[in-house]
Amino acid sequence: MNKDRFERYNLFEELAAKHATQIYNTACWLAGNYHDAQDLAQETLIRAMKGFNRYNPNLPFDRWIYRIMYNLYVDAFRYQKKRKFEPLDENYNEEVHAKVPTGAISSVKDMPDKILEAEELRLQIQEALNSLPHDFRMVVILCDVEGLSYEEISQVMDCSIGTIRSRIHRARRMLRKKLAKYLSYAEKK
Amino acid sequence: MTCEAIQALLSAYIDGELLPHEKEQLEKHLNDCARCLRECHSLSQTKRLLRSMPDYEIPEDLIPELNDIAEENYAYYAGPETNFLVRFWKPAVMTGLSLAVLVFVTLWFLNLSGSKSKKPLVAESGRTMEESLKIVKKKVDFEPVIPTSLPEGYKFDSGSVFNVREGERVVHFGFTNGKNRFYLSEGRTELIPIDAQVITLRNGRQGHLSVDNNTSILHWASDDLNFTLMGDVPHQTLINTADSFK
Repeated sequence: MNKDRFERYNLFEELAAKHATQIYNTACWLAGNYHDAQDLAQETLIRAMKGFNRYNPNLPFDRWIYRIMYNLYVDAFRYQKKRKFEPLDENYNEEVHAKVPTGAISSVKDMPDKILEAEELRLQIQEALNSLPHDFRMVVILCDVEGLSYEEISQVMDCSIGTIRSRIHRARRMLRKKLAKYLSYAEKK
Repeated sequence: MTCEAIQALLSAYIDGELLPHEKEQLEKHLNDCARCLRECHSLSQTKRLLRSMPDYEIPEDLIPELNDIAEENYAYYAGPETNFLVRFWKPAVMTGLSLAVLVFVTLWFLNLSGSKSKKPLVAESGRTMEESLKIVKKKVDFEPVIPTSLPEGYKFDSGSVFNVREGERVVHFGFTNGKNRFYLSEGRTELIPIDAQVITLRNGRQGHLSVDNNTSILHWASDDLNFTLMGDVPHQTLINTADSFK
């Protein structure tokens, strides 16, 4: 194997490891279920690895990865029959209850009903995101979950900042309607 | 500006994306318009709700899978096969195994040439061999086995699963003493090494032993599985390791 390729491969590994949580997190919110999220994250990494010789190290790696992921999602997942929405933890109830501490409860946030409430909220948000068109969903994930600027999002999705502005606004209004009864939860955080 | 025009800018305002003059106009309007202020507040709550969600945790079994993909596509990235492979394995077998063995050998030669040690795609979790066995078992349709003892000074280093071809996987464990390294590969794919010395392992199993450029290779079959030990170690190290299998 030539040295240059080996060094580029090591660089890919470092970057992918550094962004692994972001990649998987975005895949989860975008795909909406555990199985598709896992496939999407893995396919994204495969495609990124194979195309890494075209990657410019001066550009942010996460933006490049998000773009690959979004294109993959649109191509591969958009036309698949939508899977029935299921919790991202397959053994949802067992998983949630496994988090309940058996010893003394040291703070309010460890209380069992708080844990269940947080998981229920995550499911509701996921369901609301799943109801959005894929381009609206992506902009909201990139802006509100991953914290990208409009300019950064426009680079990922290859469209104007004006388009991003409009999509985020429309997406948020749709989400607000679906999540109306949970909005006060944001105040508690 | 009308309320409709103002409300169209509210998300951008909440995200800090308005131009200075837009922001000034909007804030002036909000000071006087309770309706638009309520709209702004509810959109802001919606954003905060999403922001408040913690990241999904990467599942335990995703990490070995990501490693598998890295290893598998490392070969894709690595380029043409080496002469060593062409000489050692029969071409028919090589067709089936070239991917897994290419990775195996390429990793080995990189270590020999003193290259920087390869980091896993995702940070190793420091698993024991038994923990790694539990994880790889879920990924294959056979019962992988591990040696019951290792040569002195050696310890388990890595475990992963390769896709050889559609529906066929090979389990791969690495061991090191900090200086030298050897690998155990096991799977259903049949290997027929050429120019190998036939030896008898414990329990009467037949092994095929060969050497190439200081790399010792020991192959044997047991219970429908094929095993290969390979590394820059003395023959006897591989033989003792093979003998430790139940």
